[in-house]
Amino acid sequence: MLSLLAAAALAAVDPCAPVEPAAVPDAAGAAEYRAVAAAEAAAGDPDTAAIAWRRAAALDPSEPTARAALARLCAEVGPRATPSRDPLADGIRALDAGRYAEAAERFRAAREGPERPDAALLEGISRYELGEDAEATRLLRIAEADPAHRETARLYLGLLAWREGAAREAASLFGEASASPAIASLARDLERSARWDSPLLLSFVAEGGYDSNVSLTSDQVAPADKGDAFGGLSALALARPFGANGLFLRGAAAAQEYARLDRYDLTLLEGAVGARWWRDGSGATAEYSLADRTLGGSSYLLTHRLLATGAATFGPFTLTGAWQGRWESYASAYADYSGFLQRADARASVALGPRLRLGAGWGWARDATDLAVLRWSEQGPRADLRLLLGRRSRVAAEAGATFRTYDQHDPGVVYATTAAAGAAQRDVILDGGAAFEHDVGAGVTLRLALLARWSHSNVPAFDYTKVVPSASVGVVFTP
Amino acid sequence: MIAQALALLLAATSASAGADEHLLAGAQRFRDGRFDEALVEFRVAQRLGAQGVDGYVASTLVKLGRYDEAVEAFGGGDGPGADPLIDYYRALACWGARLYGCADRLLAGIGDRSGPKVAEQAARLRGAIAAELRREPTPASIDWYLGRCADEQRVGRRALAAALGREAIGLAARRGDHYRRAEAERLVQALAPGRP
Repeated sequence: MLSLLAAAALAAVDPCAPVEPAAVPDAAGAAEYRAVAAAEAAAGDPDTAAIAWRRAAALDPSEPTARAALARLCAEVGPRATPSRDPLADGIRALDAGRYAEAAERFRAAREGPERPDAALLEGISRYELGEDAEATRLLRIAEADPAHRETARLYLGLLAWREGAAREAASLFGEASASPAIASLARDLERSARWDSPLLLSFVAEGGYDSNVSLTSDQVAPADKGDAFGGLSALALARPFGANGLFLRGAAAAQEYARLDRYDLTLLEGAVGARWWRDGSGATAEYSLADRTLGGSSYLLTHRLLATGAATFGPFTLTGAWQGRWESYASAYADYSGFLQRADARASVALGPRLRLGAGWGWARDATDLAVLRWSEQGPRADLRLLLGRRSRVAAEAGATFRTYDQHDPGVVYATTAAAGAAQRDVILDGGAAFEHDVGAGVTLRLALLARWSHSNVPAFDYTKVVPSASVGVVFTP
Repeated sequence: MIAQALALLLAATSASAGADEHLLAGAQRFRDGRFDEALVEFRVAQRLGAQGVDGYVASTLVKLGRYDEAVEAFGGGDGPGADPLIDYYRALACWGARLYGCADRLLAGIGDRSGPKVAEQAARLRGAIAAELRREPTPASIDWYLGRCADEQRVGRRALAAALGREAIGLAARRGDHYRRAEAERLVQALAPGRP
């Protein structure tokens, strides 16, 4: 028996290769190997089990159990290379393939004996992916002590802190990680995002631009001076006393003024309370908000809004859904438009590499106004693109089509010269938009945007076009 | 080194011829770095009645990164054994199973009994453990060890469960409030050899 074992020891073989019968069968020896194989399989080590099943099958070719078990095992795991003797390389392969548990064990094996910061870093990353946050933190702290791995370790420590709701600490760690040119772009993006998750966040935006069609009037009936320049200021305060997840309070104020058409000047005051739970791109948010708007210096619109959003991320894919219902009370001059407005949309997006994300979705809305002739429903597709241009710049673009249909013909309006007399109004609205954002400093972002709309209606007075170029500067504080 | 130790063992013991063959085959594979094959041979030798093979099975489990099983196979204790090399593997098993106190005690016991290479590695490992144990343990850490202790007891790995419980006792002792220490001591007592 020893000669057989010695011959088998000369070279490692693929555990799933065909089994060569032993020169001298040994049924008793085969039974011992079968017992060991069963124990190893039960212990969760299919590699060792396969070796034992092979020995059993070689020593007793007529016994079917070992061959059947080996065939079953090989069918489950598929063809694979013989494990190498370099656990670090094996671990990297497993990590690349997304087999995080296996990768973590390989890296742990590589860390046997004196500490290896590279293996600690990689095991820490694997443990992070597995959700074993405490152990991941311990390992990444080991890696952080090595200057060669410090920034990458801090990036992942930041992700762990963020996942625990410590957004401020996470933002700080991402900022430190951005010292490495190799990961600076990602780290800065994460720093910016984490800053938004701080317990208290204040932001201010100053905006200026030109609106080619302030009143949305038709090209056929509009006055010559329907365009105007505008400027606006807005402020937002967001408090999350229990961290990134949980209860939040939001307050916002905005004012927009036109250079000449001051009857369209708009102000907004809004307060909201809600709750959110998000982790790794998946989660849900629910919110109630109360908002009051003025138009041209006069009371205009008071709204109560309920909002629910959610998303689920599977690898590079994200599915998003949202619904909102808004009870609208217009001032007396616009009272006919009061009612209940609902919007819902669904979107699927995919990340094509680290810089590009494409999305597509469908939107639906229903405005149940108090006055029946003003009620409408609309729906239509949308598509969007997000592209990171470099460490601090990014571009977003979006396009959509909306098909709006009013419930009934409105015989009272003077412009009701429809193509088919008596038909309800139907609009087709095409929207397009693009924005370029550049982070000019910590928390300061410059944004250039262009919005365009083309609306076609079977009521000619509702045909219009609109183009709005604008520039804004936003500042985010996390005191 | 394990293979050399085994050669001496084979000369001194009277295990059956079949068991000896498997023991030697396991040692050869262990020396060649083919640890999964070594484990199979050691296991067969164990089944055939080879004496003193448990330590080699456990050492091979360490090489395979199966630290929890290795601690169980070693018996879970952290007192010094007869062979400093085996004690070094016991320490590695404890280190890999996150039983840092256990690993430290075993490494401290190796001392001058081993050769210079093992002694140097043991000293480095103790340095890493000292860094790990510098901070006051958190209640969450102690909860984790006691949770694992209960889990392992449930699946019948009593030696590993006891080692996890002892680790929890050691951590609790380093806290001013001795968080869950009495509970950990009761668990370890219940896991003592001979108790049902």
